[in-house]
Amino acid sequence: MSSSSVDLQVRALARRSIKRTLRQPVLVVPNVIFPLFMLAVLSSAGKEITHVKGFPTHSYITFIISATLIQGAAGATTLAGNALGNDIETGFLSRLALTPVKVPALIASQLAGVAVLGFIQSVLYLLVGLAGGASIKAGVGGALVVLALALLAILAFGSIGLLAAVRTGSAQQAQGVFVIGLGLLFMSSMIMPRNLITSSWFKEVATYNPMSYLVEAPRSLFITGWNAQSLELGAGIAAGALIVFLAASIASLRTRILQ
Amino acid sequence: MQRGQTPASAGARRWMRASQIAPIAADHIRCAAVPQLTLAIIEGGEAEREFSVTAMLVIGRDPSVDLVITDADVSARHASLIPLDVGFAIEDLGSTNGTFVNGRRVSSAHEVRPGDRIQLGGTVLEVRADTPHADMPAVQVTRVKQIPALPMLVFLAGQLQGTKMPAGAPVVIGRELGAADVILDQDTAISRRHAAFSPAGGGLTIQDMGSTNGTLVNGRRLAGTAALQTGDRVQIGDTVIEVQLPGDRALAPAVAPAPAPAQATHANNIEVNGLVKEFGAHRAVDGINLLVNPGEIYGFLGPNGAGKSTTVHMLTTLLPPTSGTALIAGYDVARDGASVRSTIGVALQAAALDMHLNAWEHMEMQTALHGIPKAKRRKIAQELLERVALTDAAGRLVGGYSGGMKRRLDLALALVHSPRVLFLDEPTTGLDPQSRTALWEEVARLVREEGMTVFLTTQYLEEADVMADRVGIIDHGEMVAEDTPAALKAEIGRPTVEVVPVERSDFAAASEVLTRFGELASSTHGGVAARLRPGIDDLADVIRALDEASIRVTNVQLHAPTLDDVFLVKTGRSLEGGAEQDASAEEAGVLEQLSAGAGIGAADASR
Repeated sequence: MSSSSVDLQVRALARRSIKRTLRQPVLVVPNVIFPLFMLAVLSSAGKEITHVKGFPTHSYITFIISATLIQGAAGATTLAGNALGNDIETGFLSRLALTPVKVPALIASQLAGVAVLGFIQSVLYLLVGLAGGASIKAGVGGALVVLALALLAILAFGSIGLLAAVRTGSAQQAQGVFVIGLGLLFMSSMIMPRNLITSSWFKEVATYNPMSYLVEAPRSLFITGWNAQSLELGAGIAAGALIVFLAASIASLRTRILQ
Repeated sequence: MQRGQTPASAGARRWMRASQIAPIAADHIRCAAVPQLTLAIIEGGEAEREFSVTAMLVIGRDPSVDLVITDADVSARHASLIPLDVGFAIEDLGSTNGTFVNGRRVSSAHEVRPGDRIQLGGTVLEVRADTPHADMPAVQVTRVKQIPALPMLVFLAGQLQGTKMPAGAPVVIGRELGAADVILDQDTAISRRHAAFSPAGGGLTIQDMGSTNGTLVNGRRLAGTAALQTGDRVQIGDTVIEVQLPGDRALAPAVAPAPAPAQATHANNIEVNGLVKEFGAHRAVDGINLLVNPGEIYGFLGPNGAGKSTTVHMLTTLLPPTSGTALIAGYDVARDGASVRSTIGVALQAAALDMHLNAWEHMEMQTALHGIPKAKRRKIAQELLERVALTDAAGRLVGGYSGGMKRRLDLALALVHSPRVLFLDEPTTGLDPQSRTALWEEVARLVREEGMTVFLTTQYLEEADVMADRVGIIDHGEMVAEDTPAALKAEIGRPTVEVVPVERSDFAAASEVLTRFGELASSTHGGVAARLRPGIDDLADVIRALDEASIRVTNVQLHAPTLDDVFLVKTGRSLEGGAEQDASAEEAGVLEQLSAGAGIGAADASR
């Protein structure tokens, strides 16, 4: 099959993925709204934290907005896992398997819907954050990179959801992975910089928790401007996760549906 | 002979009293040597006329053969009678409509014995003991003149299923003897005088005669009179009648497997040898063998966990076989998965559709995935959606479709790449009768006009009866029976009489009475039943005997064998009723195996 055919397949399936995702408001809206609730609560409740000595900014919403972006991105686990799990449960995946579709095309296209939705919600969070008083030290260019990082994180979380769906064959079980992601997010430097975490075990966990670096990469753009190390760490972790989980999903799907 | 088994059935005989069949003349041709066998034409020619046959004899429509039967359903060189050391054998010579002995199609030389009935097209010959008498043409056989071409009614389902009869005069179908020409007295949905077929200018019309439940033509209720075309299906109660008009040979008689359609090729067949599927220690499919001919509709039946869905999944490359081979259109499902997939269309048990897309979007995606150029996609989508009557609803999200609409869309999606072999896994489950009939129509059309081979699993025995040229029954992963529906029913043969005494104390006496007529069988109505001995087919005798024994009964029924009876005999279980649950259970089992990834074969590097 020519590469153009693969392109054709990706486009056809991506169109479907986008339409399907955007046509499920009941599934989509909570994923979009929940991080906004968290943003509202944390930015209001956390104002005093900015008085802690060494806190990097006087605006807690500037600090917490990056966590909101990553929390929103983590929702891609649910959406992608649910989408593929549903396809497996309903037999739609078998329909696709009976066409000449390539597995990488099938997997990549499954991420299209969550990518589009995730990007839209990231823009929304950013605008809400800015309206709420957040500022971006790195300027407009920094804002674009923030969105790019968010998109990368969305794809990474989405690929985790896909792997969970392929391995379990269940939309419900795939959604369960999101809870783990949410837990990891709360065990990261989400609400407090790592150097200010007083509990030693929490500090240790946050240090080894990759979520911390996913949050800190965009945060650096909001608070300190261009910080290459933070950006490299965050982007590297997201890209690495995307590659590993996507490859694992493709391999699992190959053995699952096709001979 | 069972009712509906051959054109010599009771229904056909009833009809013949009221119709006009042109007289058949005969002239003689030579045959050789000492008489060894006697043939009597009992249908389609001079009834009960006998001929003595002494040597090899070719029967066909061509004037050069020994016994010329110019019945349009008989091939030029249809079959031959071959002398054996003792007796004769009949061999089909590659006829279009096949040669049948006692309702079973013969593919190789088949020995015939006195009492056997040989069917060639619309002509039935009975083999009789060689007792020539003085007025019988010795050393001669008869050249039978052509039956004038008449519209034909082919009974595909219902009481007279398997019967084919000409309609040279008006034929009234109804339930009451004396009021109708064809009596369908076992179906209470049929009115006294329900509908009438009338020949008109070489064609045929149908008129509803004010029936209570109506007459359906191609799934649509008839209002008044309508002209019929070849292939039209008329439904009266449970009876489905297909129309064949003179000069149109597109359709096969219902009693024979469909002839290979014009476009069918031998590359459209399905060959399965020793196919095995194991899930751990459980052997779901245990060495089955199948051969589905090009242009054939093959019905695949089986009870709970029998292995139907597992077989379909293997044949469609969704599950790798543990051992054995399966070739679809010549491609090995285990080695040439991509080629198989490009050859087949599949509509699985659950219509696998995206509830959040509309029909256009489904078609667009499916055509794109099959690499169909964009310029052609819309045209294909329009044609197929129109064919399955979904054009008006094509813009609506599938989530709002009825079950029938989803099934029709599923079928359309399976056809976008013009497959040569179509797999339908319970395609009409949950559909209303009208939707079911419409889907049958479309599948029949695909076979008839496009030469498609169809592998059909179904929980509806009526569907297998109507649709399938041949039926295979699988149980515990093994094939337990395979033949035409008519032949399978003929195999178990005899009707069952069932009585329900008023008093429970009379059950024993009723059983005793029934044993005079046959061996006791299981009752389905809480009464006493017996499978009648050969030659006993008169319910009046049974009733008289019950009356003489002073047994009062609330219900007396005579059951002709059905496919469910075949099922019961072959598997020890009845498919009716528990089928849906059973099929779902098996499907769930397969899905579970798929979900668990168990038994999934090696990855296809091409993907």
